[in-house]
Amino acid sequence: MANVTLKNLTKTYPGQVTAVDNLSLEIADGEFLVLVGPSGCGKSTALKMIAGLEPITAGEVLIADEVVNEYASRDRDIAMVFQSYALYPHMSVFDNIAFSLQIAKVPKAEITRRVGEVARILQLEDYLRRKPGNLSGGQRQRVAMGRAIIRQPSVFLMDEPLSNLDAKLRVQMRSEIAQIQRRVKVTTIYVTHDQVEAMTMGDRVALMKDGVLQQVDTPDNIYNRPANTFVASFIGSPSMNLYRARLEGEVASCTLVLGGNRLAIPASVFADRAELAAKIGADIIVGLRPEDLEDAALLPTHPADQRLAAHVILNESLGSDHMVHFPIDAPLAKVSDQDSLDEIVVAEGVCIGRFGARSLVKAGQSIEVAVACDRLHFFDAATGLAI
Amino acid sequence: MTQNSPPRTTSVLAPQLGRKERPERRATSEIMRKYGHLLFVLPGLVFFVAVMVGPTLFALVISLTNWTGRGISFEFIGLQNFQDALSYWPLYRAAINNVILFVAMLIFQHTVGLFIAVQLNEKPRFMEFYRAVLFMPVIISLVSTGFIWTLMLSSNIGFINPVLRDLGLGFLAKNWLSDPATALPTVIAVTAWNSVGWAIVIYLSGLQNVPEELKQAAHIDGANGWQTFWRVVFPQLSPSFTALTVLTFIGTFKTFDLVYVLTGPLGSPNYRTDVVGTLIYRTAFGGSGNYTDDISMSFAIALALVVFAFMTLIAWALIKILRRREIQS
Amino acid sequence: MKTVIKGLLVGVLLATTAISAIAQDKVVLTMWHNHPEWKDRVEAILNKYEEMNPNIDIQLEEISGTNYNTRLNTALTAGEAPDLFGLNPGPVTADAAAAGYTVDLTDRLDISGLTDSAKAAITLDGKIYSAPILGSYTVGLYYQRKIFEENGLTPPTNQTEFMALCDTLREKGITPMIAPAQDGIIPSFLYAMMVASVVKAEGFDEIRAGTRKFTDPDVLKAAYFLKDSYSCFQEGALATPYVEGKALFALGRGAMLEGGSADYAGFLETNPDVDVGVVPFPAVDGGTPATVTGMEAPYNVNAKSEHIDEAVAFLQWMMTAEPAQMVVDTITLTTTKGIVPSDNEVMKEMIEAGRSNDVRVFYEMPETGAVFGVVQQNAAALFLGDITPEEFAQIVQDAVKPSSSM
Repeated sequence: MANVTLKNLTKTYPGQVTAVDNLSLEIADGEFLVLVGPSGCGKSTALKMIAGLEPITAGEVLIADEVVNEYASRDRDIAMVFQSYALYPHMSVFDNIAFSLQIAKVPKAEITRRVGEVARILQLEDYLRRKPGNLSGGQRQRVAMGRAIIRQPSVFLMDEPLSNLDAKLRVQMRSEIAQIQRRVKVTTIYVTHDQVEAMTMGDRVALMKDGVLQQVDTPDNIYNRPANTFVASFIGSPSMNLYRARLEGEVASCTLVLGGNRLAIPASVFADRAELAAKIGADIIVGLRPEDLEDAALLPTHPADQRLAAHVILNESLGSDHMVHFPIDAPLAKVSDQDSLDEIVVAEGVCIGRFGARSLVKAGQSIEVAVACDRLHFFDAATGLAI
Repeated sequence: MTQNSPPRTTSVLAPQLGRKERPERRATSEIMRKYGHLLFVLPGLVFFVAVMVGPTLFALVISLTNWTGRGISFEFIGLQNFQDALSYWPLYRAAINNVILFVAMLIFQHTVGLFIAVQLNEKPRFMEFYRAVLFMPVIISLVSTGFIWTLMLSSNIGFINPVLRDLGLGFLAKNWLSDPATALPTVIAVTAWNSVGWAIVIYLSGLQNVPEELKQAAHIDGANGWQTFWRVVFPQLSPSFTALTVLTFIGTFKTFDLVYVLTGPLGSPNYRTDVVGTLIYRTAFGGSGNYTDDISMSFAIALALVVFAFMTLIAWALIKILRRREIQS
Repeated sequence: MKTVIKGLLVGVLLATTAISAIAQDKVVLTMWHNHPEWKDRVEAILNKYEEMNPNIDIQLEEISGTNYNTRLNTALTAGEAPDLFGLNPGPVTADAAAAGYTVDLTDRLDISGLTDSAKAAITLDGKIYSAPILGSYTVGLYYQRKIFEENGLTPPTNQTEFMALCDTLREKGITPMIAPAQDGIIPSFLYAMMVASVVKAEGFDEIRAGTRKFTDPDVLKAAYFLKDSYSCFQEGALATPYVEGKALFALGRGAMLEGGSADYAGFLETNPDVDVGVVPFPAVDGGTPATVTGMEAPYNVNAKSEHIDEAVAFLQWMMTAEPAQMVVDTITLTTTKGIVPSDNEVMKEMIEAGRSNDVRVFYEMPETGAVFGVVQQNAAALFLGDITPEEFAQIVQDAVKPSSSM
């Protein structure tokens, strides 16, 4: 067991493509860190550098406070679960799990004992004689886990281990992996592009984009206090609605001008955000989470000055709630995958609200939308950073 | 542009055509639906029957006669030719040479061929160049390569022996193709030079199908390069191993042109390099002598059919055995 | 069933043979020949004939010796053979006659101008099927005049001299003898001459009759001589192809070569400055140096030809003095009486060599037809010591079909 430290880790490919840019991270012993980001953000490259599968251009990787840059993979005391599982197709499940012990010349009896133990944890006891080709996706995934667990390594590295499973199995394996990790208490770095996995599994989430670390924090903080518009729009589904807007008035009676709508901003909002008061009168970007928007008909007591007038163009009912689409006449601050500021596109944007199950709105209706104004997010219009 | 054409034309005409023709075409279309796909096989089938099945059956009939290949007089003699073929000792002498050639080539392809393929798979600089050079012999006519080798190996006009002497390796200079000790090894060496391209290409394609992650997984599991190759990568190559083994078997047993060009119609010296291919050729067409009383087309065909049956059996068994150890996935 | 198969045989063979029927006003005679190296020389003779007979066009196709018999057999079976084709005399011609491939020329051709040996060679049971238009060949021992003169040597006449000469030449760093033995043809001729030096022409008749055998103690010495002679051959002799051997000798890379009158034209093609002499092959000790003679494949007229008369007229002309002179001056020995080489010294020497002890080649005789091939196939075993001279002689003897038992 060990902590992992990345110091200014950088990977540059020939042709000056920088896949990982100055990445620094501290992962505590036994922690479950999720490295998340869109494809191509450098998260897998970072993982491979930690694993020793990819040469490091600059910076250091420390495992248990020891610089391991020059160590071969097999000397780093790590185990890795691959997206493809990378099971040895010609070996039985038993041999797949036992391979590392066989290489290490562990006595046969002990191998049998340890494989049996792992197989029991992973419910693979009945499949030990089978070849991977004859297993279901979930079983293969477990074998891959088993192969990692049996080594009792200092660090688990997982590279999108669930992305090859169907949705239902993914949900199930998600919790299983999280439970196993908690049981074995091994430092784990888990790479995924799936924000749900990031939110549900990790003790902390590190969000990357274009090789640059954007934010590291607990899932709740990442969600509730995104560091910039990119984090804000990446985490959460549907994405946060981002619009260009302006604050008018003063702290005590501030109004958000959002296109043709005006929303009253409670003073408490300024209390939490020291720099916000200075932005009164300036252009900002405002973020509205879909769940902070509700059918005003369900909230009769909601203040009248915290409502938007909207015309519903689409209602996607999920049973538990409704995804209601309505345009807002303010310029949309769109965060593309490439980035932030230059590419914030100004356009008439459709806003999505998550309305309660009892909402009766229909497409074509003009309604009032209740906005939880104390839960709005504010970002600098120029830098995209949270205020 | 589409606006210019009258939009109704197609929509009006199409249904009419369909309605009109349907009743007449029902019977044929029923047959077509069931067996129509066979039409696509027909050209290939006709060609195959014309150039493979037909001549083979025809050969089978000839093998039941005593036709010499000269004139058109012959008698049916039943299975006499086959009976003679099975007790014809030059056939066994030649077949043993084929077996030696096969075993030697098998070892060569699965060692040197595999080794070169692994090196190329590391994507060295100029890999395309190496690959092209190594594969080149495969696409050059065997007769040309054989002829060039006879010139190079010749004790009188070749340059291999002079080069060896100039290098101070005169003791290695040999009468390569006429010395009984070196003749067959030399034929093997030329065959190897000529066909290593196959081994490389087949193994290389196999290697390129081995996922990088499999090797990475093995590295992380603690395996060194050697262990990773033999315990993880090589087993993935078993389809290549099977293909190459079977191809090598077939290739070495049907070899003719290279041997004929290198050591002549009599498998010189004294049949040390005689293979079934040259034996059958000699039996069918004569050994370039002035007198041709000893040639017999029907007996040669019987020999060829015996060899054909034997090769089919072995190739089938090889595939059967080797497939069993391939990965099921 | 048999008719069907015959039809198929013909059909298949037909399909594999080139069809070259060109409609022309001229009478076209097609002719196949098995010495590509003589093409220009033969064309010169044919041109002469075409000048004299403007209505005749003779189309010559040269096919290398190795493929000639195969092609011709196939074409004959398919009925697509040329109007004129050469066939070895003796058993091969008899076969073709029996199959009805060739025109019986007995009453059509006047062979009175031929030498007696040529007449004998083409006569089968009193009938004639072919004409020896491109002469005959005699095989003896070629030697490089220059090498012999420079070293003060004379051509050997017997085994002892021959072997001693080999040692002398080897000591001087000269390859004594070029023998392209890959296909066994040269060793077979060597053995024929060695046997002939012991048995002479009469003894050869006795061998055919079965009263004398290759295994007889005196004839066995020929097998021993053959085995010993191997040590005189150039490096890698058993893998040296025929053409390479002839070229090596023409270029002076060896002092001696067993060769025929027909080879000389080829030497000149390779090296116009070649300077060689020719003598009978050295005898087994106590015997008489010998040569062997065979016919250059005499020409048959295809029974299916549409121009039999024209073809016969051509053959008749070819046996006259003018073409015969061209043959002996530019190609090989002629079989027409009274024609001597005008200035071809080598041909003159060859004729001279053939005077002492000349026998006919094995393969032209029905009794010894198979002997030539059997020697071809077993000479390498003898050279390498895989079989003893006694075993070799026995194998050869087993190939004889004595006339008494026929």
